[in-house]
Amino acid sequence: MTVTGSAPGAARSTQESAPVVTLPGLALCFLQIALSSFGGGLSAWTQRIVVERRRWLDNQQFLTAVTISRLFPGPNQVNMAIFVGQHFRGLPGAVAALVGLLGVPLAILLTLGWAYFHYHTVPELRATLSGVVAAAAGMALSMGFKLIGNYLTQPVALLFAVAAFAGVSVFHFSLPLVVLVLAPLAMAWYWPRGELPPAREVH
Amino acid sequence: MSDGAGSLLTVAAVFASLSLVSIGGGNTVLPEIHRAAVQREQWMTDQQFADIYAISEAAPGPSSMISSLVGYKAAGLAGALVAIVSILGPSSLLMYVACLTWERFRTAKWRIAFERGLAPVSLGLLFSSGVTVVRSSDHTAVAYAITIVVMVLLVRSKISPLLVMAGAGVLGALGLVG
Repeated sequence: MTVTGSAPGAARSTQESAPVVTLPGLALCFLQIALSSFGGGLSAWTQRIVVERRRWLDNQQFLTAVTISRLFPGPNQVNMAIFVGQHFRGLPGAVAALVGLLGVPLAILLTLGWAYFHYHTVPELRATLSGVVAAAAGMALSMGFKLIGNYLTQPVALLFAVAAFAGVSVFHFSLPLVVLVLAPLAMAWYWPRGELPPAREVH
Repeated sequence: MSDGAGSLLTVAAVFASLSLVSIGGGNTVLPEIHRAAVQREQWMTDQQFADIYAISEAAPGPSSMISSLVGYKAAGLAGALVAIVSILGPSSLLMYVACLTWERFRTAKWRIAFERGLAPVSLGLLFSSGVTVVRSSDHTAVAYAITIVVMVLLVRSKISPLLVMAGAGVLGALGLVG
């Protein structure tokens, strides 16, 4: 596959091999995420497919994207698809990622809904679902342990992680409030000081 | 479904009004969708709503796609499409504009600080989501056991999650979880 001409990703690839992401590639990627997520666990699948398998984003980019997606209105995964699609291919990319994420699932769901409303069959879903949902919960938890990696040796980063977790899960503050309090503190701590600008940004 | 255009407009109004308030995922507006579909517009019964909720949870894709089934019951296939476009359109546009802004400040110091600083905060929040899912889904000892085994398997081994999910589904279908 040779990419020539004025593909936006091509100019950058000389210094840092930016992944070449095509529109069909985006659609297929999010279709794969959607189809993998029977019973839930979309975020974990996104991490697995976008970060681990395709290496389109690194862990830090993924973590930031997840929280931005959650802070804005709309389903997290839809926002995540827009983020990834836009990041690589602008508006067409965002649309391609959305079509990939929603197209086939919508067709499946409407078929199931049609069968339900016309034949009044309650598919034997609930029992099966109880098992799948318990597994999806395990998958959601596994994602945190996979991403914790280098942070284990960074006490301040761990402190921020524990504070965020405790804020939401122990003290039951709302997510926007927790981010509003912790993000400025974290930004102050991680503010770039006296570093050379990244080489690849020279224009 | 006699007044086609009228009910399509109602579907659009119901879901578009919920789009920008659906912060934190589709489940936050679920009670509101329920109120509109069952009580206010009387598109379906309580039992039907519970059933399509189970169907949309089991089907792939984001959980807010339950909107399409509500729209389908209210106004047919066109209703389904109107519902999904109405609930996703406004929030998606906003997210897109936010992404454009985010890209524009790629080299800004605040963005570098935000990306570095938000990552550990996000990590903690991911654990919170996991715990929330566990609290809402696991009510039996077997369910907790499945959650823990799946978690350890996925962290420690390269096993395909699909296989794990299928296994858990079989346990559920056999009535061992519920």
